[in-house]
Amino acid sequence: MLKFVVRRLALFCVALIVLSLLVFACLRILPGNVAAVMAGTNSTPERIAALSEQLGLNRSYPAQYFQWIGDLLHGNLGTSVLTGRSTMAETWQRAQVTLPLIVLGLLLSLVIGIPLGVVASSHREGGLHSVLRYVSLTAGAVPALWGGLLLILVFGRGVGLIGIFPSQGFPEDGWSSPASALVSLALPALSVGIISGAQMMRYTQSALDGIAESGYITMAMASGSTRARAIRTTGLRIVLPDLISVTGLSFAQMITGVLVIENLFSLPGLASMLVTDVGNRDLIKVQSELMLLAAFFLLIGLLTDIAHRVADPRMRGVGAESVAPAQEVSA
Amino acid sequence: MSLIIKHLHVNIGGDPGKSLRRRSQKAPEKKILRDVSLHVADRERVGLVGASGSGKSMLAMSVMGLLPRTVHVSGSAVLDGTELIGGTPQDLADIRGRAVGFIFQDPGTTLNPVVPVGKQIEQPLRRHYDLSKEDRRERVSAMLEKVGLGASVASAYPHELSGGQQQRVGIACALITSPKLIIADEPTTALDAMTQLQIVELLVQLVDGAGASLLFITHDFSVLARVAQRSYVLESGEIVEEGDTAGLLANPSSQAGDRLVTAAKELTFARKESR
Amino acid sequence: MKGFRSRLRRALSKIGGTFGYIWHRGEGRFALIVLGIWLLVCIVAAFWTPESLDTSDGYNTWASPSPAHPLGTDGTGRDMLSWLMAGSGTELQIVVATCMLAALIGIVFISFTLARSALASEIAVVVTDTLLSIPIVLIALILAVPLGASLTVIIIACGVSYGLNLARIAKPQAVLAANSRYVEAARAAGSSRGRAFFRHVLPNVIPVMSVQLSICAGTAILAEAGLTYLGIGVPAGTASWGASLSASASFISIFPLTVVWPGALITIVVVALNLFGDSLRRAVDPVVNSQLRAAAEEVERGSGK
Repeated sequence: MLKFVVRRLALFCVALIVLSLLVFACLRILPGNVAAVMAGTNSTPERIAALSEQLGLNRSYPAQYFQWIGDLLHGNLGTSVLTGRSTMAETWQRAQVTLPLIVLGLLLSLVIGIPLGVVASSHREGGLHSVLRYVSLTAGAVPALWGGLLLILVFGRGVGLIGIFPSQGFPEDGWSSPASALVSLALPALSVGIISGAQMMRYTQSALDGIAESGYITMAMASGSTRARAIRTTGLRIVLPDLISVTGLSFAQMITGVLVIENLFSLPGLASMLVTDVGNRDLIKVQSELMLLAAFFLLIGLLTDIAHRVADPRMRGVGAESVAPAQEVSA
Repeated sequence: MSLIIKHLHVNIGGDPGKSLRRRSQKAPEKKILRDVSLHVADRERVGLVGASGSGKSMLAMSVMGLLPRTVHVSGSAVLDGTELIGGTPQDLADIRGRAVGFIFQDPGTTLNPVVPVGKQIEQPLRRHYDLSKEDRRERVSAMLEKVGLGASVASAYPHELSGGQQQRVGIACALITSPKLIIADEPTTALDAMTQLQIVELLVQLVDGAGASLLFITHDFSVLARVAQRSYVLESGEIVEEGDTAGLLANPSSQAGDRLVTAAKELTFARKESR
Repeated sequence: MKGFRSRLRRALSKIGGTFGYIWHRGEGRFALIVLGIWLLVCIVAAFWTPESLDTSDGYNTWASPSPAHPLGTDGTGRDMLSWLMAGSGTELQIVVATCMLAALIGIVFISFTLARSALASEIAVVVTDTLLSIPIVLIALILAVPLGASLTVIIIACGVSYGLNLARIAKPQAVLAANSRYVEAARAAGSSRGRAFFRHVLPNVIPVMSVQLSICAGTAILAEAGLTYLGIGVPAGTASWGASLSASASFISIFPLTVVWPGALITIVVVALNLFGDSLRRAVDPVVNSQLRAAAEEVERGSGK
C-alpha cells in the first residue's frame, strides 16, 4: 500500500510538471506576442515594451518558465495586470463559492443516484425498472443551463411557480451568514446534483446489474437475505471501489455544468473569474489559475485512486501497475 | 428435519431481461426439471448425482428461492410441514441461513471478496438472531475452530486463503446457525483430490454431530460413496434411478447411473495409479 | 482486390444486421428515427431554411409561436426554427469531428498500451489515468486563450478527453484480443505486429468503441451548450443549439417559452444518442443478443469443442 502511494505521488508530480509545460506552451508560444495581446489592439509600442519589461516577457522561454514555477512553488501566483489584485487571494475568495457548490452537488448526486440505482437494480423485472431507466436517461441528457433554467422557472423567487429559493447572486458577506449563503446555493446545487445524480444512478444500476446474478449475491441470499437486501448490502459493498472511482471522475465531469450554473445564477465563483480573465486575455493570471485548478483535479484523482485501493482489500498488496482485478470484477 | 419434494417442475423462459422476453417466441421455455420427487428424512444424508447440465443444482436453488424470478417453479416442496413453493421472498429468506444452510461449489466466486471472512460467517447470525457483538464473535471463533481453521482467520480476506480453506469458511457460513438441513452443491468440485477428501470427512462429521440432514449434490459417485446413505440419479431434468448408494454403485440400473459409476471408477483408479 | 470487396460486403451486411437488430426494438427505433430526422434537417438546412438567418423581424422580438414563426422568434426577431435548423449542421460537424478525433486518440493509446516496450505502455497508462481527471472545460479554457471562441476548442477539448476515456474502457477488450489464439497464430504465421493489430485486435475493439462513441456524441452536444454559454465555444453569429439556448437564457424571467425549444431539442437528441448506444451494446453483446449467441455456439460446435 505504502509503495503504491509513493509511486502514485511520484506520478502525480510528473503529471504536474507535464501539465505546467502544456499550460505554459499553450499560453506563451501559441498566441504570438503576449504583451501586445494583453496591452490591447490600439496600444503604443512603448506601452507594449513597458509591459514586456514589467512581466519579464522579454526573457527566454525557459527563464520565464522557471521564474513562473519558482513563484508558484512559493505560493506566489502574481497579481493581475488589469486589476492589480493578488491572484491567489482572488482565486481563494472565488473558490469559497465554487467548492461548496461542487461538494453540495456531488453529495446530492450520491444521495439521489445510489439509492435509485439500487432500487432500479433490485426491481429488474417490472415497470419501475423501465420508468427509472427513462427518467435517468432523460435527466442525464439535460444541458446544465436548461436544467438550471427550468428549476428557476419552478422554484425561483419572483419568477417561478413556487418561488421559494433565490435564483440570483450570493450574499455580499459570503459565508459569514451561512444560512443565506446555503440557501442561495440550493437551486444551483440541485441543478448540478440532479443531472450528475442521473448519471450516478445509471452507473450504480449497471454495476449492480453486473453482479446481480453472481455467486456473491446467491451467497448473501443463502445467509438469509432477500434478493433486494442482498443487492443493497453485499452488492453495494462489492461495487463500492468502482463507485468511488466513478465519483472521482464525475467530480471532473461536473465542472462544466458547475461553471455554467454559476454564471446562470450570477454566483461570484471561479467561473466568472476564469471567463472574464480568458476574455480579457489576462494571460499571466489565467496561466496561474488554470495551473492551480489542474493541480486540484489531479489531487482529486490521486485521492480517488487511493480510496479505491483502501476499499478493495484485493488491491492493497498489489503493485501500482496492476489494476486488472478491478476490471475483471466490473466486466 | 425432513424435506419432501413432489412433482417439481422448473421452467426457464427465453432471454433474460423483460423487454427482450416480450419478443422471445423464438426462444421457447426451457424445461430444466420435470416432475421431480425426492425426500430427505430427518438426520439422513442423501445424494443427488447427475452429469453437468442435468439440472441438479437448479433443484436446490429453485425450491429455496435462489433463482431469478424469470424461472417458473411449480409443484411442492415441504420442509418440516412448511410449503416452500409459492412462499414470499421474505418467507424464504427467513428460512435460508436459519433452518437451511447452503454450501456452494466455488467459494472463490461466492465469498464476498471485499469483506473479512469472519464478518461473512456471522452474517446468518446477524440476519436471524439478536446477539451481542461479543457473542457473535465468540460463536464465529468456535465455528472456525470446528472447521479446522484458527480463530485468527476471521480477519482474513477470501483471496488470502487457499481453496480448501475457503471451502472450510463456506462450511462455517452454512453451519454457524446450526441449521437442521444442509444443502451442499458440489462442494468439492473446485478442490484437488486430497482436499476433497478432507472436506467431505469434515462435512459428514459436522452434519452428524449437529444431528442435521444433508442433501449432497455432485457429479462424482466416488465422493458420494463416502457421504450419502441413499442417492438419486438425475438426467435431463428427471430422476431416473434411486436407491441406497452402495447398491447404486455396485449395480446401476439406468444408463445415466452406469455412465456416472464407470466414470467414478475410472477416476478412482486413475487417482490410485498416480499415487 | 477481390478479397477486399468480399470483406467490404461482409462488413456492410454485418452493419446492416446490427441496424436491423436496433430497429427491432422500440427504443432503438426511436433513436434511429430521431437521428434520421437530424441528418435530414442538416441536409435541408444546408440549402434552405424557412427564413434567411440574417433576416430579423424587428417588430416581432420574443414572439410566441405563429404561422410565420412556428417556434417564435428570439430577442432580435430572428426565426427560432431557422436558427435551430441551421444549428443542426454545426452540431453534426462538432459531433463527427469530436468522435473521429476521440477514436483516433483512443486507437493510438490502445496501440501504445499493447506496445512491446514496457515503457511505452506504462507511459500510455499513466497519461490516460492522470489526464482523465482534468475536466474538459479546463482544457477548453487553456485552448480558448490562443484560439478564442471556436469550434476547434470544443472539438479538441472533447476529443482529447473522450479519446483517453475510450482507451481506458476499450483496453481490457484489446488486451484480451491481443492475447488470443488468433493473434498468436497470425504472429506465428509471420504477420507483423502492426498487421495483427489492424486485422485482429481492432475489429474486436470496434464494437465497444462504437457504443462508447455514440454516448460521447451526446456528451459532446451537452459540452457544446455549456462551453458556448461560457463564451469559449461556438463563436457569436454562428448558429448552434447551444447558442440558441444561451441567447434565450438571459431573458428567462420575461420570455420563458422561448427557452423550451433549444433545451428540449438538445435533450431529445442526446437521449436518442444514448438509446442508440444502449441498443448498439445489446446488438453487439453476445450475452444479450440471442442471435449472436446462437451463431457463436454454432461456431463452437463446428470446431468440435
